[in-house]
Amino acid sequence: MELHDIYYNKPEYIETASGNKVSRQSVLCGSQNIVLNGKTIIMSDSIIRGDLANVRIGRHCVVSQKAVIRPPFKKFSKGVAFFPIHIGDHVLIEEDSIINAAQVGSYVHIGKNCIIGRRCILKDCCAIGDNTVLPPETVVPPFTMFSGSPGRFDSELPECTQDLMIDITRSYYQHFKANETRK
Amino acid sequence: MPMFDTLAYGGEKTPVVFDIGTAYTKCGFSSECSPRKIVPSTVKKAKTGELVNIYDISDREELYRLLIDFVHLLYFRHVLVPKERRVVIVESVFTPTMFRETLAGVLFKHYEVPSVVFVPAHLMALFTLGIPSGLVMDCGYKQTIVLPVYEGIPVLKACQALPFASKAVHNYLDAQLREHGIVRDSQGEEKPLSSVKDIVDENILEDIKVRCCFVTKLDRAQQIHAVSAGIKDAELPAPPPDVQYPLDGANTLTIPGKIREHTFEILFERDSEEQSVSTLLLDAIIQCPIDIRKTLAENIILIGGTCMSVGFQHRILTELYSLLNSPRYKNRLALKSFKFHHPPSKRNCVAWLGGAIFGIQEILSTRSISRDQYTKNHCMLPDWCSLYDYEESDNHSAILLKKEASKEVLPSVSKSPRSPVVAKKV
Amino acid sequence: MATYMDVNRVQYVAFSGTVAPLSKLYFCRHCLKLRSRDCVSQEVDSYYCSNCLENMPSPDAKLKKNRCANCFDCPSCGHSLSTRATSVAFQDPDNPGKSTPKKVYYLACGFCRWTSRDVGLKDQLIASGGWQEQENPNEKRISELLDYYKHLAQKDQTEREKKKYSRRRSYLHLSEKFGLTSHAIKKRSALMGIGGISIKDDDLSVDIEPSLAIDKVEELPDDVFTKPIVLTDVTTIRQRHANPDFQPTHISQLYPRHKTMLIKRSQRCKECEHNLSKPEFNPSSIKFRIQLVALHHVPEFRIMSLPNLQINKEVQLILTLFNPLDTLTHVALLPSPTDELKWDTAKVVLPTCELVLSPRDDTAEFDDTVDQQQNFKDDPSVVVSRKSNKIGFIVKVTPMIADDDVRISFIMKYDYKNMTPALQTEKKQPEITWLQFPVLVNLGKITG
Repeated sequence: MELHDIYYNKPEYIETASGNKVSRQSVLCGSQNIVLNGKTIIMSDSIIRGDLANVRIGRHCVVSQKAVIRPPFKKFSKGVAFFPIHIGDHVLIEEDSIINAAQVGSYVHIGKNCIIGRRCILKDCCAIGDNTVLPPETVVPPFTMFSGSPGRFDSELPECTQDLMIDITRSYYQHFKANETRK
Repeated sequence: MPMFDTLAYGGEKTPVVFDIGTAYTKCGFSSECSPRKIVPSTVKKAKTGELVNIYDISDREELYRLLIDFVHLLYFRHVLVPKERRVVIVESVFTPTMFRETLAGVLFKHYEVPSVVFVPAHLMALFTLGIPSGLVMDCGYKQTIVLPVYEGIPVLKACQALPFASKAVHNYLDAQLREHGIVRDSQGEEKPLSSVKDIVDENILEDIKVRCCFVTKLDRAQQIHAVSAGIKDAELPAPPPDVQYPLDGANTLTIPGKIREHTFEILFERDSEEQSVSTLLLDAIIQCPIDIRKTLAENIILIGGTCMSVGFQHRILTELYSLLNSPRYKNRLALKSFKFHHPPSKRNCVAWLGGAIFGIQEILSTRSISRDQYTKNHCMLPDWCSLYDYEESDNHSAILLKKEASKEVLPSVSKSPRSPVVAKKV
Repeated sequence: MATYMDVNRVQYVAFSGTVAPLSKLYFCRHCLKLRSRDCVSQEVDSYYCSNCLENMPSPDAKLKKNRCANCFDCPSCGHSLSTRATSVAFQDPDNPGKSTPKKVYYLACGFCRWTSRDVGLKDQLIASGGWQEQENPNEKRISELLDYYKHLAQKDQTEREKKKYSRRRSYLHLSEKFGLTSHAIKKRSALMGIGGISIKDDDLSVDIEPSLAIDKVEELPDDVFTKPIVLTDVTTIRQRHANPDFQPTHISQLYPRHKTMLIKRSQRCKECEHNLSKPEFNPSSIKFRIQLVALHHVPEFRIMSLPNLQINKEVQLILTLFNPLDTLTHVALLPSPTDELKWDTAKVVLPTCELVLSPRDDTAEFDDTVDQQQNFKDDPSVVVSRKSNKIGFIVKVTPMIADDDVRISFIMKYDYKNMTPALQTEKKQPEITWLQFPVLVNLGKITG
């Protein structure tokens, strides 16, 4: 099934020179600490907490509505420290998910309504099923899908996961079009 | 020839042992003390994603496909070795022919295992004890099967079975909870369970059974049965305390103490043929020659997950003594004592452990069906109830499967799902 | 991706007859066939732990029962346990009254908050390892049993050998052809006798004490009728099954279990025994040493838009076709000759002309000069869109059966340039082969 066009109101989104499309309805705190590497879509009501630590998001990522990306913290005897969060290329994050991971690799798919606990490490080419709760410090290896609460190994992903993810995120970007006819 | 076999198949590789039960599958390696994993015998349908029990699939082709998935999980997620190893399958004597044939097809054709041997669970239980004779009762998920084994030979004509086991308990519990269960939601409002839609599935029923229910004592049970039979002046014993069982975040189910105590009675209630789980043992003994009855009564082995229920074994023991004095058995059995064995493993893994002990033996090579034989014989599996002898060659394999097909009469159990093949006249 | 897009709409038929979406198929370029799960054999390539992502060589894995040496699963919820450090004051033996702080470690679950201290396990002085393993109390007995039966089996074997030998000489085996001899009967019951008959032999060097039956069994505790159950103290069946040796019934008996390893698999074509997929050794790597997935070698169809499907009414359906190869590819669509799979529920009119696909170009994405549109001379009534290596084309469909999914099938034929390494070294022109694969499409329910 080919993806269908998704239209948005042109004034609602800011398109940067490198092709990022960021909704004006999103909350980007500490935007000087947020790096989007191009052709990434940040949708409405999503929150990215760059004020806590650096957030780096790769190319061709999609951050859906009401998703939250928040750098993880670690408690020490002398207080709390926040760590930067890195998200790779071609990552698809669906609605209402909260990402507290330390690292999200490339070609990762995170389903709806997930909670990715503090300092989790999501390797390349992995997937998280809908409504999954990953406890803090979970490691998700490549080519695995984790789901459930607590999230655990559910199934393996096909060898061509990388190609599929590239395809999905690219065509998502292509089909994410401005609706210019509306007032 | 056997020498060559061992070399060709790599004698040093320990066989894998699968006990594919109707509820749970035990899998692991021969010569180990316990299975590596105990997993539900369910598989996800590729199309709909729903979980189905592998014994509930009636279509042969679908079963073949789903068994590929299931065995894949066993191999690549649980025991983590691929093929190249002999396989020991521990099976119930009543495993449907279609199921075992399909399973053999999956193992030989798809996974290309070098050899498979099917061994009956009841016989395997004796291997964990080092004894030649015993009365084995397997109380699992769908059926309770009693099979006497004497000097290593299963006495098939004395085999007894009832379709009452764990599943019947779940169904009864479900019906009782729907009738008497009260759910309290987060506002503290109470309503009957039946008004809350489909909140209690079989997993929850099993959990309630395992964590809350128990098999009560005989004297109390007799009072309970008297009340349900409507005998005047009969009174229920004071029930144990109720349990508050959290269903989900909002709802709490109150499980009445009565249900906790009564649930397992379904196994001990006599049905229309006056049979219950405990009469099966005595009926099996009666079917046996008089000179072996004492040996059997003093070598009782209870296996299967349901036997692990709190109070189950004690109830069986007391029921046996009480039944001995009942008019039904008084004049027919002259037994004085019953003795029970305690296998060196949890009851649900006994049959598996037997298979694991059996699998270590060097003679496994001569007693399994090899892939060559399987293909040569047009993918036919010898059945325990057929005397069809398909190895005319000097090869000694495949004897195992026919071992029960001694001159014993076929079991007189009508509940057997497997239609007995007419035995070739000896 | 399989987890996101509905990939089951368009499926391909592999050589073995298995129907699967292209992403789950392999393409063997040695036999030039589509391979599915049913015609590849799978091998265990390497073992690794999903938590610490470390490889374990297979002899080690075998020794450790395929469990990671360092990582543990929470016995309560199944999540990985993490090691926590804390300092405890130790009494100095030389200097009583003075205590020195010392670092100790324990295991804790970040999800359900279970800790190794809950069940009374002593804290460790080193960060990893040192935890005592649980031992099966029956281990000794079981190994006795194993020895015993092994011995019996050997004896049985030698006896059988002897018998076979003597019979050969006496030509008795001829009689086997005429039905069952006593030998055959013996064969049948031989196995069953393994525990029975031989046990009477006196000359056994290995002997075993047979299990003793007793007339006592576990009794029902008396307080079960009066003592309320604390539900949170009783383990669930899942927690019990996680530890098959002990199957603890009370949470105080829970014990951390070593984490089961995961495996990397490689696939091999069952026919020519070439590898179809072989991952790199490193568990974190997503690269492959060999990766012959069908997606890289076979043009992929997708449904572009679903028209309003009505019974007995012809509608235009737009399919897209995508060329994964870096060569110009010609595709022809042929009607499927026989409907063996009983798939079709609709009549289909396929384009009669050849569809030409430009080669795949990975740099196209970065190339902003939009139209390097070559001259393809497409028939506008067939090809409706063309963008780099992808086209959209029209297929006419007439649903025939009312209360079923609308399904069509056809055969795709395309020219595949075989670039096997062997051919390349010979500097020959790549060989062109025409390949045919049946394609099945499910359009879903009738809408109107």
